[in-house]
Amino acid sequence: MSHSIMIRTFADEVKSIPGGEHLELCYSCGTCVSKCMIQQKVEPDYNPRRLLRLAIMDLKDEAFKSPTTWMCSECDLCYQACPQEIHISQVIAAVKKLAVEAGYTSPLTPVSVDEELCSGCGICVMVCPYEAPSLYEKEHNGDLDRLSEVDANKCMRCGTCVGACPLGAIAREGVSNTEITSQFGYVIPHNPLLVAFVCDWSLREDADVSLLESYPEDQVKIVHIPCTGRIDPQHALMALDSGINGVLVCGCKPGECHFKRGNHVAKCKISLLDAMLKQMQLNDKNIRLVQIGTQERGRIKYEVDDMLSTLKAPKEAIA
Amino acid sequence: MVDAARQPRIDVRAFTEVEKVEGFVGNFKVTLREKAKHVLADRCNGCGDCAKVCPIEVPNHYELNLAPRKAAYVPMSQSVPLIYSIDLDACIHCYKCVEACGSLEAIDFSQEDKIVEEDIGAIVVATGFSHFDPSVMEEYGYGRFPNVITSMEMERLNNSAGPTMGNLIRPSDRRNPQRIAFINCVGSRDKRYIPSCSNFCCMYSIKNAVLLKQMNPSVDITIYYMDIRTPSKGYEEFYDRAREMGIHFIQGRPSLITEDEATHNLFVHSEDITLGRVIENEYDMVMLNQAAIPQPDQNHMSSVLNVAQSPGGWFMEYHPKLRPIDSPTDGIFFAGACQGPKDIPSSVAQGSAAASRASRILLSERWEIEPIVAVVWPERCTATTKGRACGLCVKACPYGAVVIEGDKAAEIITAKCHGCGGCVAECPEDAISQLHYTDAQLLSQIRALLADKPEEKILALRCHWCSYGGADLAGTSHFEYTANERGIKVMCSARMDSDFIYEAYRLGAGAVLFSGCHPQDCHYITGQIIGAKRAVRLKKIFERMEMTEGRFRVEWISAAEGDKYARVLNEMQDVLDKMSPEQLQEEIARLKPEMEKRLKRFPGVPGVPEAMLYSDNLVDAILKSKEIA
Amino acid sequence: MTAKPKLAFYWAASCGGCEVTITELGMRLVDVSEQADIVFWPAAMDFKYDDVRAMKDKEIDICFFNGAIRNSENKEMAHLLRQKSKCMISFGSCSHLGGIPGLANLFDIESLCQRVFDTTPSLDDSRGTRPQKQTLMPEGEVDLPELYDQVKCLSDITEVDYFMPGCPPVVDQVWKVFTAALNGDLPAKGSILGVDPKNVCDVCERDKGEPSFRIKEFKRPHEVSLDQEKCFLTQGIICSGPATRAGCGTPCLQGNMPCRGCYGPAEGIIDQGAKLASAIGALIDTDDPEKLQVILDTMTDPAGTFYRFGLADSIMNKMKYE
Repeated sequence: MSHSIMIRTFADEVKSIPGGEHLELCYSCGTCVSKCMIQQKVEPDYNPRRLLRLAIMDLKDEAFKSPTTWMCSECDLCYQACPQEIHISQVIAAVKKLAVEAGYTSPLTPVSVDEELCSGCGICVMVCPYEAPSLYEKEHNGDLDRLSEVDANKCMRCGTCVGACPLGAIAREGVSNTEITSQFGYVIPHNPLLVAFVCDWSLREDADVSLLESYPEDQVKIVHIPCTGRIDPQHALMALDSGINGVLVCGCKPGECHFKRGNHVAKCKISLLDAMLKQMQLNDKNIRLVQIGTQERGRIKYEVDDMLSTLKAPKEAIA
Repeated sequence: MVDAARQPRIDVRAFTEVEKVEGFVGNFKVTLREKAKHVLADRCNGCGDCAKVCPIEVPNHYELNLAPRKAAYVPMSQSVPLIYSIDLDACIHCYKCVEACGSLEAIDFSQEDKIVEEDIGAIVVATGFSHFDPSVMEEYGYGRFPNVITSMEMERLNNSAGPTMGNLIRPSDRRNPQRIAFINCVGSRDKRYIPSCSNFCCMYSIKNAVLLKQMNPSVDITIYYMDIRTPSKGYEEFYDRAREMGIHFIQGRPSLITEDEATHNLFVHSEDITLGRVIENEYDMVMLNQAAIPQPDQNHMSSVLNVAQSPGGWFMEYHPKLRPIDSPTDGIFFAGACQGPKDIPSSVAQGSAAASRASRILLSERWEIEPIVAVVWPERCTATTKGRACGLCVKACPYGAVVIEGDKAAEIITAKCHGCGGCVAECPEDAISQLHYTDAQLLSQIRALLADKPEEKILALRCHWCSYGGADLAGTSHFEYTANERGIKVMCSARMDSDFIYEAYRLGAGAVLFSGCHPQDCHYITGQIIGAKRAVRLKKIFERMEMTEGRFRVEWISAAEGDKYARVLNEMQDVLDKMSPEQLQEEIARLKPEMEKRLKRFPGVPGVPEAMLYSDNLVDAILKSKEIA
Repeated sequence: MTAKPKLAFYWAASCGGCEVTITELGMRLVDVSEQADIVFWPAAMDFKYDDVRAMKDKEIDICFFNGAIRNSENKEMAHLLRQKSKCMISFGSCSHLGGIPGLANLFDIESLCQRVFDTTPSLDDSRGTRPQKQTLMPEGEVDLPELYDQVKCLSDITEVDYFMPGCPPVVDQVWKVFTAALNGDLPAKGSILGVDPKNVCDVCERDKGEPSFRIKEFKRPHEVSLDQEKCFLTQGIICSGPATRAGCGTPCLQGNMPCRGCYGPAEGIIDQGAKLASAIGALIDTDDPEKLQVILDTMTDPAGTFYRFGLADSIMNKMKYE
């Protein structure tokens, strides 16, 4: 419709925000719900189809309280799959915007900034896919200090800022620098110990997750991260330096990152690390990045087995 | 089909294409290309000995490429007529077939395509439909996962005359599947591919499931659907029966199919909407119910037959409710899915209907058409005056009734003319006129209506099918609107010539309303588009002339919109009321020379006496040339 | 009269910039010479190694040792001076982290010699000259120091009491250390002197980046008209500031050039180069995955850029040589 709508209801409000226009085209086919991995992996009450219905039916309060409103990370897997071409993540973002205006806040715990460590460099502000951090000025010892603060309603806890922060001033529960490095654990000599940084979303099938966890701990040590955007080349080097033979980083295929760009960030970091290793005339084959598609059932086994056999082969002479 | 072939008055010409259709209802000239089969129809007895010895095998299109056929072949063993063909694209010219044919000498490699012209009274188009190829939907893995097939492929596998003689097997390991899933709406109801619903696949899907379940009760079958559409008699009961047989139905459109590389089993991910839960189920085989789409050569046939297409590409009927069998071109009828996807009972009914409507033509000696047809003055056409026809009339006609051959003047095929008047108004040389709606007649109406106190009058141009009806409804409903309105009627807004409007303002009209149907409602399909373009152009011209806004108004008013008609007229009256009489007179006087300037561009705007004389001459001329009694 | 404290300055594999820094003290050198005795400074005065060998152990109060350990002479002098000094200060980036000479660890000794003695453009005609450890001359046997495979930091081969980072260390800092040392006022042993707790960004006044800023192409400082107000990263210029400790007074930034990282990794950073790769890698424009490699290729020498001063002290270095 080319003429603007009169805003009478909650549905009208949602439709008037860019992205919410096609709300009523939804015919509840449920494709979005099963394409999205949040219900399957994290939150059983997460349901985009249901949220669209709540909006259409003007059930404002329920919509504002629904986990769907707060947990959508705009990966847009649903948009690619929607037969009515509804930009579902934008509809959800429209609902969230109205919720924030109405005074509701996200139930998720955002990343936190340690003011003692933060130097206000602004890197987190630039790298965040959700534009959650921002710099502000605070009085400190008679000086104006620039510090970062994170908008809890925008932060999706992907950890990309944590990986990029030079001083480790931003922390996300469970994946701070020490929490990660302490997982490398004991090294058993002569076995090709592989450390695998696996993002929570890259293995769609529970069968694949169990398969990965079935490798004995002296062969494959798994470090779970929310997104491969969190990885830090320092950790990869520390792992190799401590006697671990290989580092596998397992993330999502281009176009399928749960947090928009973390997989590409990982690719950039690993590419830079590889380039530097090559310049140092070191073997870059023991650091591998795999980006697994949502349809690639069973591929992780192939990648891990392949890497284990590469690590077991006699070492190449350093050129 | 065999009955049809045996009927003495039915001539089945296989392997033949329609190349050209000319003429009009009752008098079509159809050019056919009888393609060379390289097998002589009057000698081949369908024994199949040629096929037996042919060394070449290619995929059989009829079997959806699941089985081979020879280069010497019939598509299926029950083909009618049972005459073999040689596929020269595959043939290696070993001539073993000639040898095998022996004394029958039915094979002739020198045979060429034959072009034949036939006189045809009526045409029924029953070219059917095609299937959406699901390989573009990566999420379902068709083409990559061997055990994901389409339901058409399943039908062939299940068919006792098919490639596996009715044994439904998995392509990956030839074993019989125990767990089967059907997915409905693959490609249908999907804005990325086919937005429309394919009509029959819900029932089709249930039918296939019931069939498989009947043949093998131990098989586990699940149908994934968005909605189950069972509109006709007995259909809902059939759906009940399917569920009672133990066929599972899950409401939830699958978003993804993944495959176990070792077993080639498939995992279908969907939401079970009834439960509100995401589920993943394992199957041995998945069948995709593909969308129905128009045939690949639909566009080509559309231009050969000169019929329009609806959104989606299906052939367009005259009217979706009131004349669904007829095409807008008299004498051409549609039957079956080529006009839109439909199931077998509907197609059969439509086939009977098309035959009956076609036979009306064949059984009449005379055919009645509307008298309000267009007529060309050849000496005025630019083909005559400037050596080359401008072609604007051809572009304006929704029915292809205007033809221009070489450097001859435009000609109207009277039998095809439906009387919209678009060509009449479009012609820049005023070389075309319309019986009963000549420029003279309409201008004389305008002059009469604006004879007295024209500045107080609002002249309303209304189209017969919509806005005239709307005005009528306003009246019968007793909606009050200004008494200063004076209306004239033409058949379509396409006929509303710019001359009428310039003349109205030149005569001092207060305001003019240009009204017609809404774009999707035009009785003449695209007439309103012609009228609308012209109206928009006129609006811009009047804006540039600095005519007070609201004195020229363009509105699309349907026959049901009496209230809109009344409202629009009252708004126009308001505009006039807001101007003082002096202002209005001053503007009318200021713009009069502009109107005259534009009128002068078009020659021969007749005065009434001349028009009267012309009308008589015109009728005589038509009667003489067309010999219509 | 109590003896004046004794100072020594030595240069191992270095450029001489640290020596120039000492001279930059200017008139304050006069104060130094009034308050202390300079007993060894081969760059400026005519001292011999035998002078050092003749000293008693721990006779030198403070030795400022700059330069990396590239050959056997550097190593011998490091050990000797350590033996003869009470306090050994690792002075400047080369001795602290390996510095620019440390970049030689990207290669191997044979390729380096080939480049220097065979293929470098300034060579007239290669006669295949190579330095020999021993050469018999009419006067007798002449020794040359042995080139090691690996450049090392001072602390890799001997115990160091204090570190003074910088390439070169800031002159005012040198003066502070002098006065503190002469007053017995130095902090705990092993400290890095003259550093601020956070990184260069903390003290940099420039406007920081906007949300969703992405680097679409890496530029070198001479290719761009550098804006004085804006963060270098937002101009596509690689600045090592985020991973580099502050305390130098940011002369580079004030000269409108990006930080090069000479002060070493900030606190909390284990490997300066890898951390920079992490921070700057995350800034690259990721809208079009096809273009990622194109953008990465505009960075011509990642190891040399990110590990400019600290390669010899990095984890990668450990991986190569252990």
